[in-house]
Parts: sequence; C-alpha cells; structure tokens
Amino acid sequence: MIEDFSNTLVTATPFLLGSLWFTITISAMSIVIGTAIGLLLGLASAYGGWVTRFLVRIYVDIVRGIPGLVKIFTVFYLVNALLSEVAGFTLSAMACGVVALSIHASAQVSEMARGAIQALSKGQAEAGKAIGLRFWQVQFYVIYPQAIRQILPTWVTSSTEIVKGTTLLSLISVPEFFITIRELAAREFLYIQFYGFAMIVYFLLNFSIELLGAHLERRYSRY
Amino acid sequence: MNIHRNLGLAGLATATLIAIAPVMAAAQQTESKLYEVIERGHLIFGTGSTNVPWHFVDEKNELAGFDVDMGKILARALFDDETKIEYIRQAPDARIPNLLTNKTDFTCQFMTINTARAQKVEFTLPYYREGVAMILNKKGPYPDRASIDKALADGKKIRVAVLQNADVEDTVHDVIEGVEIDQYEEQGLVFEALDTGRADGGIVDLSNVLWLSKKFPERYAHGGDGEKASSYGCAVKPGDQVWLNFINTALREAMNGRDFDVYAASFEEWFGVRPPAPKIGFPIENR
Repeated sequence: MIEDFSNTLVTATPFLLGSLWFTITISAMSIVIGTAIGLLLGLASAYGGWVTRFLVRIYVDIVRGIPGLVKIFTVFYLVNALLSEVAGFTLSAMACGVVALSIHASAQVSEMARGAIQALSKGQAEAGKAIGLRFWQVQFYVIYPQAIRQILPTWVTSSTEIVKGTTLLSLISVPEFFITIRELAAREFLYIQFYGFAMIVYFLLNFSIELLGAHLERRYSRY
Repeated sequence: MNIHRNLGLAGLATATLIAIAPVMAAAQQTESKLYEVIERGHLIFGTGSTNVPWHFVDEKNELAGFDVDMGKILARALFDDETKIEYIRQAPDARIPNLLTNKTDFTCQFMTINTARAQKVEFTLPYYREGVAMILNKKGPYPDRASIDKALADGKKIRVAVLQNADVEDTVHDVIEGVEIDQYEEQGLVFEALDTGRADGGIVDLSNVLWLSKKFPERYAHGGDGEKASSYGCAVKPGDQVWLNFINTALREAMNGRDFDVYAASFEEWFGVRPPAPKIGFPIENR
C-alpha cells in the first residue's frame, strides 16, 4: 500500500502542484482583498457617523452569522443568477470562491481593526494633530502601525481559516488542492494515506502564514 | 353589421395566427439548448470525479468512467468529436442546482431516477440498471459471506457501512438482515471504514463491488447482492423537449442502434461484461 501511495504521489505530482498553486492563489487573493476591505470597514466603524457605523455593523453581523459554505453557495448560485439577469454576465467558479472568502475575511478583519483602533488612547491621535498632521497622515503614521501590531495575531488565525475554507470550494467545481487529493484517494482507494498527506500540506501552508505573521509582528514591535 | 365586422376580425386574427404559427414554432425551436450548444461549439457537461468506475480522474488527470463515456457519446452525436466537452466537476449535491441555473447543459453522474427528482429535472432514458451489494475486506475478520452469516448466527454484532440515503435501512436489509448500520456522507468513507476495521462490511453499488473485486482481488470480496434495482439516467433542465429528445436519440442509438459498439465497449471496460447486442429486425426497446 505504501508503495502504491508513493508511486501515485510521484506520477500525480504535476497535478497536485497545479491544484496547490490554485489553493495558494485563491487564499492569497481572498486574504489580501478581505484584509483591504476589512481595514476600510474597521476605519469606517471607528470614525464614521452613526449611519455608517450602523451599516457596517449590519454587514459584519450578517456575514459573521452565515456559515462559510452558505456564503459560497449564495455567491455561486444567487449572486450569479442576479448578475446574469441584471448585467448579462456571470462570475467564474473561482471568482465566486474568492468573493465569498473575501467577504468572510472582511467581516473578521473589520472587527479586529475597529477593536485595535478603539483600544489605542485618544492621546495618540491628538498628539499627531498637535504636530500638524492631517487625518490620513495620523492614521498612516500613528494609528495604523500600532493597530496592525494589535491585529496581527488574530489576523493570522483569520487567514489560516481562509486557507482551510478553500477546501469547501470543490463543492462549486473549483479545482483546488483537496479535491485533487480526494480524486486520487478515490481512484487508488488509499484514503488514509492521501488524507494524511493533505493534512501535512495544509499544516505547512498555514504554518508559513504563522511565520509571516510572526515576522510582521517583530517588524511592527518597534512602534 | 357589428356581427359581420366581428366575424371579419376573428377571421383575420385566425388567419394571422395560422400564418405566424410556423414562425413561432421555429422561434421556439431555435431557443432550445440544442441550438445554443451547437452554436457554442462545445458541450458543458456536469459530472463527478471521485467515484470509480463512474466518474474519476485517470493517471493522465483526465476524467474517465462510464458516466464520462455517456457525455462523450453525446458530444460525438453533436459535433462528431468526443473532445468538444467542457467538464464541470461537481459534487452529487450540485447536480440539480447546476442544471437549474444553467451552469451545465446536462448531467450524467450515477443519478438514480426517482419521482421526487423528476419533479425538479427531466431524466433521459436510463443508461444503466444498478443494484446494491455487500463488499467485504479479505484481510478483515469476515473475508467472505459465510463468515458473516456464521457470526450473525452465533449472535455476534456485525456493523456495516453505507452511504447516507433516505431509504438506507431498506437498502441494507435488501442485502443482509440483522446488522447494525453506520451511515457515511461519502462513498469513499464507506471503503475507508471497511479498510480500517470500523465496519465489517460495506453496502454499496453493485458496479462498485464488481470493479473493486476485479481491480483489487487481494483486498476486497463480493459479499452478496440485493434484489432491488434502480435506474441511472442523465438529466436536463425541465422544459426543453427538443434538447431532451436529442439526448434520448443519441443514448438510444448508442444502446440499441448503430452506435452500439461504442456503448458496449464502454460497458465492458467498466463493468467487465459486454451487454447483449441488439438484434436486427424488431426494435429491442419495444420488447
């Protein structure tokens, strides 16, 4: 059985690498887009008027209250159907996956950013203003570097959730890594071996994100 | 006067309807999925990728299996080229939603024909008649049916694994009585339970048992069949008779007509036996 597994692994390496690259691409895009949107939403809920804060609150509560798989199906079927009706085009399965995971990430990051900004003492922003910095300069030079340091540990957790969330995308026909593993396991009837291999690969992927988070944490620790 | 005028208008309307009826019919026909697919130049075919011998990924990373061959038969009928297919690899749960939202043109994915599903999609002619059977682990404590029957007679508990389904108890008891049932979400997990000793036997499709006991004779044994049969059919979105008729024509001719050799070769490859050839003369499907 071990020999069957290693032989299959060798012959399937190009396909496994291809689908792993797919998983990495989708994860990276979702994390980057989700983080960018989340930071903006966090800023809006920390500094916005009550209408803005109310709208962001509704968005975050709705997104956090819906399971990841339901979000994926909603974008793939419902949003695509609406797009087709209204705009005459549809999103590819991969784009739907990125949109769903980005929405998921944005709600998480939004709350992290809001919490981190509000945790900083008001004196920080006032000191920035006192030396003549404009609002965006205060945010960029004073608030964000300190807030990012606060956000990083939970951001790493959220990002690893996104990587794990990509395994659900095979349900909307995205050829990600885990479906390739399942295909090989089903063909060779070597389920334990291939699932064990997938466990190691996902651990390494998420461990890399943790290392990146630790590196960024060190970098921002001077603030 | 009014009567005459009304009669005249009615006559004019009738004449107009008669005149435009063929045009309307032609317009309806050109709206069929059949013409959309022909114009697009390839078929969007929904099937799975994790169930041998129905639909799985081979060593070249290409889809293969009996379901896949049904798609190729249709592509050949449409374009005289079995490669003109865009495959959508889908989970069983996605078969109907993908059809209804036009993500696939048609689906062949070991789909049991039943009346509940027939309210949502339209089935083609059946292309396979499936049964259930028990698979046993030759390296486990119960390597054959006799050892299972003896254990049951001695009052021992026997646990079988089966894919989750609405009528799963009936399915299992069709093959063997008096056993405990563990349900699994995916067929692969049934085999995994059998391999790891969490189940003493697995109740799966007969075609799976035949394939596995042929491919891995040292690992798996055939532990008896059930009596009930179910039909597998491809499916399309409802309301397009032209498209359904075309697919049925392609399948019927593959099973009973001039394309029989293609169907028979596929059947033999995946199930190990060649189906009986249609006899010249009286059409086999009318028997």
